[in-house]
Amino acid sequence: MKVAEKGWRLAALGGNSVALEWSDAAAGLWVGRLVGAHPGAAPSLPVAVYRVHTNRIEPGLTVFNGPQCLYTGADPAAGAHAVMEALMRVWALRCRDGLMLHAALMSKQGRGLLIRGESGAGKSSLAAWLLQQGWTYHGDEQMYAQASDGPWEGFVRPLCFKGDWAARFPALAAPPESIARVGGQTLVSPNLFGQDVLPAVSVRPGLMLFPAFRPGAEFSLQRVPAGQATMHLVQGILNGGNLNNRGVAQAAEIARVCPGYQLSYGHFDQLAPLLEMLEGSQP
Amino acid sequence: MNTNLIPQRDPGCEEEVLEGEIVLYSASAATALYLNESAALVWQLIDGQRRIADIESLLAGAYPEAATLKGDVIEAIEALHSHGVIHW
Repeated sequence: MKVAEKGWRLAALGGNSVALEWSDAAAGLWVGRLVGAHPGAAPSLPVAVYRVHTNRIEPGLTVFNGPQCLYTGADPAAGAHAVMEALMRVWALRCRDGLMLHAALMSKQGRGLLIRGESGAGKSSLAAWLLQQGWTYHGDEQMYAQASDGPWEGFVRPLCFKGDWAARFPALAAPPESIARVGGQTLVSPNLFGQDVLPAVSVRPGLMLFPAFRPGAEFSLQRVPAGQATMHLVQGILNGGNLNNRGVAQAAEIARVCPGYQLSYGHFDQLAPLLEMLEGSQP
Repeated sequence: MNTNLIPQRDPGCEEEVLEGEIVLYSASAATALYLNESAALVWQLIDGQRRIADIESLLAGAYPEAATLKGDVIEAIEALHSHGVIHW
């Protein structure tokens, strides 16, 4: 892929855009790997600007956010991780209208599937599996939901797996340039799971899934009452400090119109009934 | 638990009623609390005048078949109290 020597790209979530500027082609490629799968944002004044350049003396790259050096070093994956965390923080901090949620977002035919769970619940693995079943990936970590039946948006970042992700997808041939390791996590481009076009900026609200993955677990899929679904959402609100009553009323509005399901599973082979339910529920 | 106590709701508490269940948010305790249908009934009967015993009695009249009702009421009251959404 040819990248301009200097350039910039806007990425938005929940109505707030951030700009990523690069000052050499290698830095541009890095920005592309980081936010290249995220749909482009309409021109707007960014709430934060990140400047990326390749180091001239030591190998590696440096990212500045204003006067603050966010990352400098020779590990592009660690830099990507630092910037992704910074983007998600600023989007949560700036979001004053609607819910910024710790959740994954998938869609089929424009209808969203919110996947909410704490870290380690299996959001990324489930998102990757659904992607392989023909669903569209909109993010595995942070999403924006307007209350009631307003649109949902996701941060379409590289999938971020914890633990031995490759064992969960043994049939996947992963070229080394498509994955990056940082700490105990692996960042994998959604392209590797078959997403080769940019997803839509937003999707219609649809269903909510609250997964719990545990090796060896029996499969179960149960509708949860709206009150419990509200609590699941409340536990994932990242911008509660900006919202009246920490967003409880907005979470309840979403739970009133979007059915929620509790999923327990121990292996992807068990998930045919889930797919049947999800696809059978398409209007 | 002394069932002559009269529970008082935290006045800063907001409630969302969903299909018979309730999600409470207490601004003073900065906490959200899920109440299933039974706990929601108990919450709705807390009016600042009824004693716990009155609430038990009202629910026992309405649900004579519920064998564990007294225990359920006490459990709900204790949960509401420990989350700071009621006081005596």
